[in-house]
Amino acid sequence: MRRLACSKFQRLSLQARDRSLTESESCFVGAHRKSCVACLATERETVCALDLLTSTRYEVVVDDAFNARVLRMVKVTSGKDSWAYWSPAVVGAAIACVALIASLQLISKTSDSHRVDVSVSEAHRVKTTYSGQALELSDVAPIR
Amino acid sequence: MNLSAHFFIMYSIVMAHEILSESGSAIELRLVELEWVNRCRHGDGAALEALIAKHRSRLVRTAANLLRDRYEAEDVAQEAFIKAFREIGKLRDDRAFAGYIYRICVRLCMDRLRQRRPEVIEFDAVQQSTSSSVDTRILVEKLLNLLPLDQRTTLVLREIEQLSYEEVAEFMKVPIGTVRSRLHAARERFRKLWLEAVKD
Repeated sequence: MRRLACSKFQRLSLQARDRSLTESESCFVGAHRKSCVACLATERETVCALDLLTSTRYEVVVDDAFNARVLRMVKVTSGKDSWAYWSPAVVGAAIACVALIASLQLISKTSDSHRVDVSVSEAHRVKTTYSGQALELSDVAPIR
Repeated sequence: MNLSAHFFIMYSIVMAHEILSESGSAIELRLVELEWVNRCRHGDGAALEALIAKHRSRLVRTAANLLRDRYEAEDVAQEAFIKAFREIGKLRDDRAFAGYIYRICVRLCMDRLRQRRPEVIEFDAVQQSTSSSVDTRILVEKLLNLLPLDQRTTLVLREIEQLSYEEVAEFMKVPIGTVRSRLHAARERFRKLWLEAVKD
């Protein structure tokens, strides 16, 4: 029973930092604070720790140079999003693509002109109309 | 009357109703900011500058408290502005600009914290230092480093930045119940870590 009361006190004492407690809750917290030393000590520790945290709050003064910096950055990034920024690159890429396709086509045409037709290059016995003197192989002396 | 015109009129009525429920100066500020956001969509540099001037201090301070580094905080705030202005066209509700930019900033801070390597804690070295405010700052930084990232962010946004539960939930994109439970756990853990550090 006491443990339940202590856990309720801890919950309410933390909530008291965020909102005003109802009358019955305030009565309970006040009564428990008087009766339970451990809970009172825990509550004080919590208050100390959180006050320490709050005391280290940063108070920052931002100068006008910040505005100028952000405006410049916004202009740069919005410029990068626009067509005008990327159009030279796109045009360049398109020209490069056309050149690449053209060169590929040229290469393929050049290789076509040197192609050897296998069927034409086969060996054939061709009957010619040569009427000159035939070489008699039997007359040729053997090479020593 | 076409559908879009009808929608625009309905939207204006809802906005006017919401704005009229606020105080006079708040109405003026919100109307001015609405105007700036609208002009920013069309690339107006002056409106851009006005929005930066309005939000820069709070944004840098929030980032500094989360990251515990003033210079890194400026970088993060700058990144948040650039990201927000680049995607301002996607923002459906002009009134949500402040929440939108702070959400970006918190997410960027959490990304940076996630990338950091965990440090080995040495409390003795902290206590031997001479300047007490510097000691405290270093000690708190080391204690925060020992907290899980979600708990750390929730704790800082609530305790240091004094944001409401709803705002913390909006910036971290989590339900309010999750914020409550994380905050409870973070406070408890921070207390224990602080006790350990003091005892050492």
